[in-house]
Amino acid sequence: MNNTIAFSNWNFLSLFQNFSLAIKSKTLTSIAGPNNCGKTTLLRALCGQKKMQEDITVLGKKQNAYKITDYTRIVRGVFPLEYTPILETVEEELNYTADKLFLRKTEKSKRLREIYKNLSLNKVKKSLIKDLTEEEFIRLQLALTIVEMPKIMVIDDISVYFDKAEVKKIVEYFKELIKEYGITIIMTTSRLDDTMDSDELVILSENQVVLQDKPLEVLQKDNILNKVGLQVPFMIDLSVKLKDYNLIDNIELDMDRMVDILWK
Amino acid sequence: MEIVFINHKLEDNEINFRIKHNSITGIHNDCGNNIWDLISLKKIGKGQISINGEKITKDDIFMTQKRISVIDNNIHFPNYLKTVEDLLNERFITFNLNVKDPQKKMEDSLKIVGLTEDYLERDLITLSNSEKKLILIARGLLSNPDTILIEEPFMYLDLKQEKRLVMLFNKLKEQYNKTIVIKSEDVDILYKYTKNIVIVKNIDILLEGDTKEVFHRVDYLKRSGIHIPDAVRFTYLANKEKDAKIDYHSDIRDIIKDIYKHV
Repeated sequence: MNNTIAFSNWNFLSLFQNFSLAIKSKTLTSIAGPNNCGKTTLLRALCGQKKMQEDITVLGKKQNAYKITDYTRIVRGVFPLEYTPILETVEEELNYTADKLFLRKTEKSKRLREIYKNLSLNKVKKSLIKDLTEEEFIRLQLALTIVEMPKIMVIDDISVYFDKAEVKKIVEYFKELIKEYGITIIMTTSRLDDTMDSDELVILSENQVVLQDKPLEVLQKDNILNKVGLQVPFMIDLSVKLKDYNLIDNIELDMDRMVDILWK
Repeated sequence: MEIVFINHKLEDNEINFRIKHNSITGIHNDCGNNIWDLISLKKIGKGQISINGEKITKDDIFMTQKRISVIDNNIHFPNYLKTVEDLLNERFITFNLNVKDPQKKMEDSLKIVGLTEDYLERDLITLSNSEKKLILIARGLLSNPDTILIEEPFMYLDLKQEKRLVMLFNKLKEQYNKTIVIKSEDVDILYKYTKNIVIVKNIDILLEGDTKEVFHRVDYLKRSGIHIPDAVRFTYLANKEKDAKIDYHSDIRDIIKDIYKHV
């Protein structure tokens, strides 16, 4: 798989020094880390909200070689609650964004229908945006970004606004988008439970990558994760410790199966 | 500060519950802010409220409110507040606090939550969410309240900050006799850190009492659509399906020890 994004010995202010990270195309990558480890700064830099950089390569081209107007069509960011709507209702706002893309009528209605359904926005379609809850507002932000189908979509920590089950549903939808439209999605999170279905998990600490691998591989490194200040999901934590006691052989994520294995 | 609500009418329900003095009580709520507003005495219905065993009247509400500090989860500050100092200063004005040395009080409050006095000069827009959260807690402590009501206390905080905050709650409870009330949707957090709990469903008290005893009523909670903490769910499954005879624990290491003994 090719790399869509590469930070090569990236330096940014006094925060990031010789920072390197490569993200594969058409994947869902989760970036997790304790507070102030640089997750949001990294995403803002990637979105072009900071000065465009030479050390960041996006789709084979240096970031600072792009025109900002072209770049923001390729890489779109969702930063929760950082959005000022233009129109009044959810439907108007989404239609307005879709109309700017000059899609064919059938394509536009198909795209919007899927978005409303997958982000559970049908019930607030006619609602005034000012009356939305924070959770609904973030769903709208996600919808407005997805409707544009950027090549790369970055999403800053939504885990504080949704419970684990809701994030799981949203992640499932992201995976469908990757499969069907070939976009690359990067999301940061402070809750490791939300990273389990990602293709890759990156752990940041003090502005450096400390772990990067498939989520299950990373999550088993409980000592490192605890040391950097992250809570390992319950079933992983239990599995790793039971493995240490030679009570099980493999990581088990399903609670019923775990009970069956332990008490055969 | 013990707060007791007796036959308190809230919408169509008559509710009774108690916030115990000098304890950490959890509130698990599925129906907006009604109960939260009631405990903070912001919006009260018809019924009796007792504070430390004494019935209070409507005239007492204002003075009693001042003994309660509500730390909500809103980290979006109004534009007219520029710095952390502005934000903290505003509390002195709105609460009409008569403090001898406000500067020292602000510095002390920041210190309690693990932040240095340098933060006073920080522009609010430069703060991370976790810093904003800690500053809100520091602001909540300025009025030296008897009872602290805190909404989703660990939201935006990492594990280290979470542990530090738990230590702070225990210190406030044990050394300063404070009563702490935590509102959270996260049952794992409530199971781990609270001594008592009030579970609210459809503006009615579903269960109230010792946190462990309440969460161990798994069948009832499941029937009522309340999430079960992971640690409880695992033990319940092992005991119910395999007659494993392991005890309920909130610490995963204790669960492992029990499994080791019984498997």
